[in-house]
Amino acid sequence: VIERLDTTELELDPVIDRKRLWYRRFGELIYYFSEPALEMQSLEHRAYVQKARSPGSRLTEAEIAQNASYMVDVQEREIRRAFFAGRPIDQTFQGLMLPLVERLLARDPSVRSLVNVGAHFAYCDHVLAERHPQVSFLGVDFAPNLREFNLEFVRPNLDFRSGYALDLLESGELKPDAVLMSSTAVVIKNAEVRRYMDHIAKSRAYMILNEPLYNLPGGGVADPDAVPAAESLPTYEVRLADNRPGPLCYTHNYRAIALAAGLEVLYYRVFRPAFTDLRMLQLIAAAPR
Amino acid sequence: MIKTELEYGEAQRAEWEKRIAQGEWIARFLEPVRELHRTERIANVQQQRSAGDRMSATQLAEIGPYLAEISDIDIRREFFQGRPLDQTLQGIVVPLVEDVLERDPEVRSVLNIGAYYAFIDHHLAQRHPGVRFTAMDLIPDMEGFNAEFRLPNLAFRTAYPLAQIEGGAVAPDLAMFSATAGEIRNAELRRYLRALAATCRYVVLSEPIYPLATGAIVDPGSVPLAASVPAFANADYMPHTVGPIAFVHNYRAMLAESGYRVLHYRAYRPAFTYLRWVEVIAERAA
Repeated sequence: VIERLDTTELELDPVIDRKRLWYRRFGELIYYFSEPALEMQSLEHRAYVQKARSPGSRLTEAEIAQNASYMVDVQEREIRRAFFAGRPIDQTFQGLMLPLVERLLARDPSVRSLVNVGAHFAYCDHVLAERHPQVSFLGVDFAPNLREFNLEFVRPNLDFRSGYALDLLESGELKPDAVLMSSTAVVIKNAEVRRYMDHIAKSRAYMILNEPLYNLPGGGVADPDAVPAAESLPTYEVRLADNRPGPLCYTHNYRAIALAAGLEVLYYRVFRPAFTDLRMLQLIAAAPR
Repeated sequence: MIKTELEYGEAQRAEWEKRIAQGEWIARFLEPVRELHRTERIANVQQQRSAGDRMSATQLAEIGPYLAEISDIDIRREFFQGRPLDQTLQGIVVPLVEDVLERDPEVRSVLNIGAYYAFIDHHLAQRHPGVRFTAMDLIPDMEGFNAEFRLPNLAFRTAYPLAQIEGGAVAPDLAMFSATAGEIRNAELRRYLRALAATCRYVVLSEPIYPLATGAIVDPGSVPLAASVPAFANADYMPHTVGPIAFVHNYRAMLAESGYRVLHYRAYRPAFTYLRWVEVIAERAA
C-alpha cells in the first residue's frame, strides 16, 4: 500500500513565475498589435490565391469538387439538431431569414417557388415549408448526399437538390420566383455573386439575402456600402478543427451589386441581432416591375 | 573556374542578421502568447464540435484513425523494455491501483479508460489474477494492437467508454484514467464521473499537468470546476493534423461534484521528469 497523502508540491519558483508573467504580459501587448495585422495579410494572401485559382465568374470544376467534399466534411447533424433544439429559432442566424422571406411572401402572394442556395442543414427551410404550404421550397447545395442528409425535413413542398446552383439556374433547370442565400453569399467570390445577381435580374426573380458581416481581425467592422462593388473585402477564414483552411468569407457591397445588375432594392437592413455581436445584412431585391 | 558570386554583400548580410536577432527577441515574448491563443482557439472549436458533454459522431470517427496513425508499437515496446516501470509516466498509476486492490479485496473488476497500449494493464493483470481487467480505447483494433498482452483476466475493447458505462455494458468496481482524463473536455469528464458514480466504487487518476506555452505551471486546485485550462494542443507541424488537446482540470472538485471522496491526492514533480503530475484515489461516498 502507498502512503496516502493530500499534498501539492509543484516545485514552483516565485522568481521564475514572476519573470514568466512579465514575459507573458509583454507578449500579449505585442500580440494585441501584431496579430490583427498578420491575420489581415493572411486573408489578403488567401484572397489572391483564390482569385488566381478561380478566374472568371463561376467556380472551377476543381472548386466544385472541393466544395462537395467540404460540405460532407461538416455534416455534423447531431450538433445542428441540438443547436436548433436548444434555443428559439429567432435567436439563430439561420432563423433570421424567416421574417425576411415571410416579408416577401406577404408582399407578393404570387411567389410560389423559392430556391435556397447553400441550404446545408435545412431546419429553417422546413419551418418555412410547414408555415407556407402554398410555396414550393427547394434546397440546393454541393453535398452529393444533400437529400439524405435532410431526409427528416422532406415534405410535399420541400425537397433538395445536389449541385452547383449557378449552373442549375442558368441552364433553366430551376426557375424559382425567389432565390434565397442565407450565410451563403458571404463565402462566394465577388464576380460570382455579381453573376448570380445578373441572372436573377434577367429571370425577373426576387433575391433575398441574409448574410453575416464577419468582423475584421482585431474587431473592425466593415460597412458593406463602403466596400467597392467590384472588390469585396476578405474578412474571415473558416478554420477546420484540424487547422485546414475552410471557406474564405467576404464582405460584399450587396446593395451596389444588386443595383449594378439592374435590381431594385426593396428592403435593406444592416444591424446587430440582439443575441450576438456579429452584424448581419438583410436585403430583398427584384427587377423593377 | 572556382568562384563564388552570390551577389549578396556584407551590408545585406548584416541587415538580415539584425532582422533575425531583433525578430528573435520579439518572438521570445510573442510566440508563447500566440501558442496560448492557438490552444484556446482549438479548445473552443473542439467544444463547438462536440455534442455538449459527450463526443460527437464526427469526433469519434476522427479519433480512431488518429490513434491508429500514432500506433508506433515498436517504439512503445522498446520504451518499456528500456527502463524500470516506476520511471515511466504510465507506471505511476500502478501503485495507486494496487493500493486500492490491497486495501479492498472486494474490488474484482478494473476498467482502464483510454488504455491504448496496454502494457500497464498486462502488468497489473499478471500480478492480480483474481481481478478482471478491461482495457478500453477508441483505436479500431484494440485486440490486435495489444495481442502480445493477452491474459485470461485481461479483455481489450474498442469502444467509446462513456457510452459503454452509461449503457451498462461495463460496470467496474474501479475505473482508472492514466494520462487520459487530461485529454477529455471538462463537460465530458464530469459526465464520465457522474456516470461512474452510479456503480463504480473507486476512481484512480494519474494525469500529467502540462505546462502552459509560457512555461507556467497551473495548480489543478486553483482551476475553476467548470472551466478547465487548455494547456497543450497538437503542434501544427506534426504529420497528423488532428491530435490531442490537453487540459488542466480541477480533479478534486470534479470528483466531489459526483459524490466521490478523495482518499489520496498528490500534485508533484516525479523525480525522473520535469513534467508535473497529479495522482488521485477517490472512493464513492457512502
